[in-house]
This record gives sequence, structure tokens and C-alpha cells, in this order.
Amino acid sequence: MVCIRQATMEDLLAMQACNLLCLPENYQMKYYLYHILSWPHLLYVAEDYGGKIVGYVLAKMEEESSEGGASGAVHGHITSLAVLRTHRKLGLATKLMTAAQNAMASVFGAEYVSLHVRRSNRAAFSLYTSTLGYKIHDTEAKYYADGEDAYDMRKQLRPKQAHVHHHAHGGGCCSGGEAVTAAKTVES
Amino acid sequence: MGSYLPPKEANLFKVIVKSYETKQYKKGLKAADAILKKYPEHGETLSMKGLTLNCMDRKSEAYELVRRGLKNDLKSHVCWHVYGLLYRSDREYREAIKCYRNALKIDSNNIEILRDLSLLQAQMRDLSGFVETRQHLLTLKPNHRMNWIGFAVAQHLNSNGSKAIEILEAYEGTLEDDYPSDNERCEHGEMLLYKISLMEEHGYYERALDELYKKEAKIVDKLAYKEQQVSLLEKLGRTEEGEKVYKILLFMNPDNYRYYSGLQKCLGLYSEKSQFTSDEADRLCALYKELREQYKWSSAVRRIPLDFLQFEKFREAADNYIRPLLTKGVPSLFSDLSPLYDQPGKADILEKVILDLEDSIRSTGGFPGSAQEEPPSTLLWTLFLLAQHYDRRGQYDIALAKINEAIEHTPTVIDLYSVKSRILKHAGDLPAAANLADEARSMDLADRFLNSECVKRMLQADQVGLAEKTVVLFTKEGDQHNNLHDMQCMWYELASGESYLRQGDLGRALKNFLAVEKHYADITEDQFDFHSYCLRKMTLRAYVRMLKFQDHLHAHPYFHKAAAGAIRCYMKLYDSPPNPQLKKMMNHRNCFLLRKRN
Repeated sequence: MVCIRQATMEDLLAMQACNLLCLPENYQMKYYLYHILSWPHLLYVAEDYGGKIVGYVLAKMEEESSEGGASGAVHGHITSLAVLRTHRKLGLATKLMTAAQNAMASVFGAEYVSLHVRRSNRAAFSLYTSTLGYKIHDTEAKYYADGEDAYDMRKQLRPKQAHVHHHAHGGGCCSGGEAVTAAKTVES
Repeated sequence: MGSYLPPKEANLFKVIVKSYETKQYKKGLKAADAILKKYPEHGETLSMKGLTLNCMDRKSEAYELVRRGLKNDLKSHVCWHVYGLLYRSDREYREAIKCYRNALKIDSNNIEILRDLSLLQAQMRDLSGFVETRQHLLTLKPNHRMNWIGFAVAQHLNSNGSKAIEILEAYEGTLEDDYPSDNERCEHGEMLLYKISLMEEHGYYERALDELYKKEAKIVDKLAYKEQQVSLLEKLGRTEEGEKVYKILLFMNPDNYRYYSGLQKCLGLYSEKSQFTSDEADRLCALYKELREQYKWSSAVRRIPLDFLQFEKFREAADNYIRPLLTKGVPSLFSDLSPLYDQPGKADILEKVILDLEDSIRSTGGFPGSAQEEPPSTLLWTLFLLAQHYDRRGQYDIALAKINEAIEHTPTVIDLYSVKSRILKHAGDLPAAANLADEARSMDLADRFLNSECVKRMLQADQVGLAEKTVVLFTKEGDQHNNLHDMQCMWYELASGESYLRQGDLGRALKNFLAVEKHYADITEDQFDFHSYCLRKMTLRAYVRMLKFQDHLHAHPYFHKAAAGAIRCYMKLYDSPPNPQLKKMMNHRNCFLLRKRN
């Protein structure tokens, strides 16, 4: 019914349109460009039989926050996920998320993947916990512009490792260079 | 480094430069004034003071000072560079390029200026100039990876792919055997994939495939590896191998329709319009039967055969396909089937299939020939499907009767109201359509999609004020309209513009259409930061695709709508201008539009 595939440049405007139709957290085109030009492997779209984009996932890689000092370790982060209301009940969100998570693990060796979700968004919360296996890692007070709290949720992609062995995976890569400054805008 | 300054002032000059780089503009300004007190006409200081003021939003002073500085020291590459930076900050890239070129006439090996110039050349697609600059940079600093990659990409963009391949191979020649280290594996893999895609682009299929196999261990992105492999196998006519790879790809993602059409191509069973001989159709049937067993959870293997099956076989397959989706209550079933309505005869068959299902559920409580009893919701979703079916066929009375019955059956299902709204719109009753959409919206105020649908309908019914009040329910606190504009919400601006145009409010219509035009200008501008970023990140395939996408950006439907709308406004204004003053302005505006096309 719906094709799940990696996003291309030509999809970005449709992804932005889909985001603006469905979600209250929106981004300028530059932020989409920043994602696809940094981690083209992590953007997926759901395209219906007529070629219309009806859902997408926008994701990225992040360096481990340096408190533990273990630099080089990376994890994935879901920036935004949306499926048009007209295309529910097809399991599209699950398929999009799974595709992005697999790419995080296989291309970047991500140890875990994180995301933020509104406390009041029960449908999304139950998708993340019961279907996809995320757990609450933390709560961030007043994370959203309207003052609502966010759950900081995480899902382990591979067992925690104290020492990463050589050539065990392709981890810790593609992290050179700082982000484009102007593209560092709001994150969901 | 200010020329002809005594040591104390020369140090102050360094302070200006440093302050500019660290954005401590006030400090820089103070240092500049200290120098100018003693040497009021010192060119480079005047220039740097201008550049600093430019960052403090004092634009006209900035230009004046930078120009005066340059006039006082025409032989200074600093003055020319600063002039270029000033133009660059105002997006006047052609002027900026001229300034950098003048700076380079004086200091031809200045790496910083060369790098800045190369970014502008990429942005403006001055491709031969880009090649020249990147070559110069490589000659000056051959030990920098970025310079090799930059030169290769420049050659590629300038339609010299084979040269680009040579450069990348020469670069690989400079690497140690054990390259790359763990933290560079991904980037190196991207470089290899880029090189192989270049080989493919230039028809060196055999060589590309050899290289791919040889470097397999160094290519981290296994999905890209497989997709590249199968693309080359197809081009080489090695379809049996291609078939195997497509099956692996389908195993990785059985929901990617492109893999199915690829597989069909490898088997010689592909047709753009799904037209097949009966022998071909039989073979396709067998193929999808086999695939259905392998990928039980994929809906693609069940949906695709509806495209190529005909007559009784189509009827049977459609029936089998539709039943479980009605039981489950999948709201998008109609939109999934709708492409079939373009094929001759299939709409009639579908109508018969769905009506038979409806009859059977009403009379027996289950599907024809099935002993299983369906839940009450199955009738609801059958009516829902039928309503959309009759809507598609232009039989709005029947469509409305069906959807009304569905609403009576279960008044709490929001999707029913959305579909009723759409039928009313097609039937031409726009205010009623807007009312229905508003009813749907009020049933779940937290759902932005329902809000957007409602706003769209309101604008179609020319209820602009109401639409405005409704749309801002989902924008951030404070400046609400700006928020929609800042977030580039183009569908809303277009729909507003069209409504204002219908109502003859040309000023507001134009404002909306030009807002969309501005978004496209901004997206073009967005490229700028990525010219250097992607060379560092090594996401070269994505970068080149982005440039091509940008080159065709204005072909996007949103831009077309905005341009057509704006042109209509201008023509109306020109034909009957409210006053002569405006006519004069219009002439100016027309020039503006024409210029845009270049």
C-alpha cells in the first residue's frame, strides 16, 4: 500500500509540507538540508501508491555528551516523525522508525537511539514503549515552547560495551567537523 | 598586518582582525578608532572598521568606509577582500567574486581568499572558475584531504567526470595501505561510493563493478553498496545476478516498491503502464505468488498484482485484497485503490466487488462465502469506501447517502466527517465543506492535521478571517503569522493568496504569493554553508544531488502556483490600475520579475 524508502533531495519539500500539516514543531528547509547532507542514511519516507509523501522520519547522529569522557561514542536521535492522519493503521510509523534505527546501528554503530515526546501524546508514547521498545530515560521540564514537559526516551540498539574492539563495527565515524552553525535550530 | 603602520598601530590592527573573528565588534571598533586618530586615511583600517560596522547593522556607513578604505589603498588585498566580504554578506555574489579576483591579483596565493572565492563560484555555478580555484588550492596545499576532494567535485560538476575519477584515484594513492582508521571509515566509504557512482555516470560499468567488489570491505554503508551493485548489474545486462541482489534488498526492506519493479525488470517483466501479454501476466502471477510466501508481512506483494491483473483474475484479487482491510478498518484503502480507476474497466469491477461485500454484510453479517461474522465496524468502513468510490465517479448524491449512513452508524469516527467535507467540496458546496471540516476539527482539538484540513476548506470557501483565527491555534505564542511565514508554511500562503485573488484583494494576494517566492530564494541561499561543510563531512553523493536539486528548484509546483498567482495579480493591476502612480510602480515590478528568470 505504501512504499518505505530512503528520502531523496526531491522529497524534502514534501516532508516539510507533511510536517507542517501534522505537527506543532516545525523547521525551516535548511534544517532538513542539514540532516540529509549530514546523515543521508537516516531519512526515510512513506510514499503512497499515487506518489504522495504521507509520512517521514528525520533523524541524526550525536556525539556522546562528554561527561563520561568517552568521546567518539555516538548515538542516534529521532528529530521528527510524522504520518498523515489519513494513513494511520498501516504500521507506517513503526516501519519508518525501524528503518532509521537499523541504519543508525549498521552505518554508524550507534549504541542507542533517543527521542523526545510530549507528556500528553499518549498515542506516540505507547508506540514508542510497547511497539518499539523505548524506555523513559529522563523527564525534561518545559521542553516545548508552550511549556509542556518532554519525556527523554531511549532504546538500546546493541549491548553496552566498556571497550569497543577494533573493527567490531563501523562506529564512531562520520563525526568530523562541526555542524553548520545556522542550521542548529530547534530540535524536537 | 596593516601596511605602513608603526608597531603599536600594527598591533592594534591585529586586534581589529581578531575582534572581528571573535565577534567582539565594540572592541574592534575602539582599536580602529585609535589607529584612525593618528592615521585618519589608513585604507585597511578604514575597510576593517567598515566591515565591523556591517556586523553591527550600520550598513550605509559600512559601505562608505569600505569604499573609502579601498580608494586609499587600491593595492591592498585586505581592502579588496573586505569589499568582497561586504558584498557577500548582502548576497551580491557576482560583485563579491570580482572583488576577490582583484584581491588575488595582488596576493595570488592567499589561501583564505581562494577558499572564499571557491565557495562563491560553487554557489553561482561559475564552474570553470570553480575548477581553476580548486586546482590552485590543491597545488598550494596537497596534503589536505579536502583539497583533493574539492578539486574532484569541481571537475565533476564541470562535466569532466573522468578527470574527477583520476583525481580521486591519485588521492587514494597518497593514502597508507591500512587507511582508513576506525573513525574515518564511514567517510572513506562515502568517498569510494562517490567515485564508483562517477564511474557509473560515465558509462564505465565494468570498471565500477570491479572497484565496488574490490573495496567491499571498506564500504560501511551496506545498503548503498547493494543498491549500487544492482544498478550496475542491470546496466551490464547481468540480470540473473541482479535478480539475486534484488531479492536480498527485498529481504532487507520488503516495503520498497522500487525493488519490486527492479526485480521485474531483471526478469523482463516490466511495463511502465502495466500492459502485459497473457503469458507475461501469468509469469508475473507466479512471481508474486512466490513473493507472497516469502514476505508475508509486506502489503506490496498483495497490492502490486492489482495493477497487472485483468477481468476475472483482477476481480478475485481485488476482493481478496479489500476484505481484510475493511475488517481492520484502514482509512486509506480508497486512496490506495484510486490509481486503478485510471485503468479502463477496473472502476466498474471494483464497484461490483464492494457492492457485493456491502450486500452480503447487510444480509448475512459476513463476507460472501464466509462463515465468519464480521464486527459491526466492517459495514462502516465498507460504506466509507463506497462513499469515496462514488465521489471519485462524480455521483455525489449516492456518495453523500453512503457517508451519511456511515455517520449515523457510528457518529464518533472523525474520518467520516473529513470525507463528507471532501465530497461536498467536489459537489461545489464550499461553505458546507468548510463547516464539516470544522466539525471534524472540533472533535479532536489536539490534532493539527484536522486543523490544517479545516483551514484549507475555509480558504477554499473564501472565509479568510476565520481561517486565520483557526490556523494560529497551532502556532507558537506571540507573533503568529510570522511564525507560519518563518516556518515556510507555503500551502497556507498559497491558499490565502488564491482566496484574496478571487476576492479581488490584489494587495494581500500578492503579499502571500511573494512570500512563497521569498522562501524559494531563501532555499537557494541555504546552499551556501554546505559547499564547505559537505567536503568535510564527505557526503559527496548527497551534496552533488543537492546542487542538482537546487538547479531545478523553481520547477516545484508550489513555486509555479505562486508565480502564476503573482502574474495574475500584476496583469489585473496593470489592466486597471487604481492610480497612475501605481502603473509606474508596476513597470518597475515587471522588470523585477523578468530579472528573476535569469
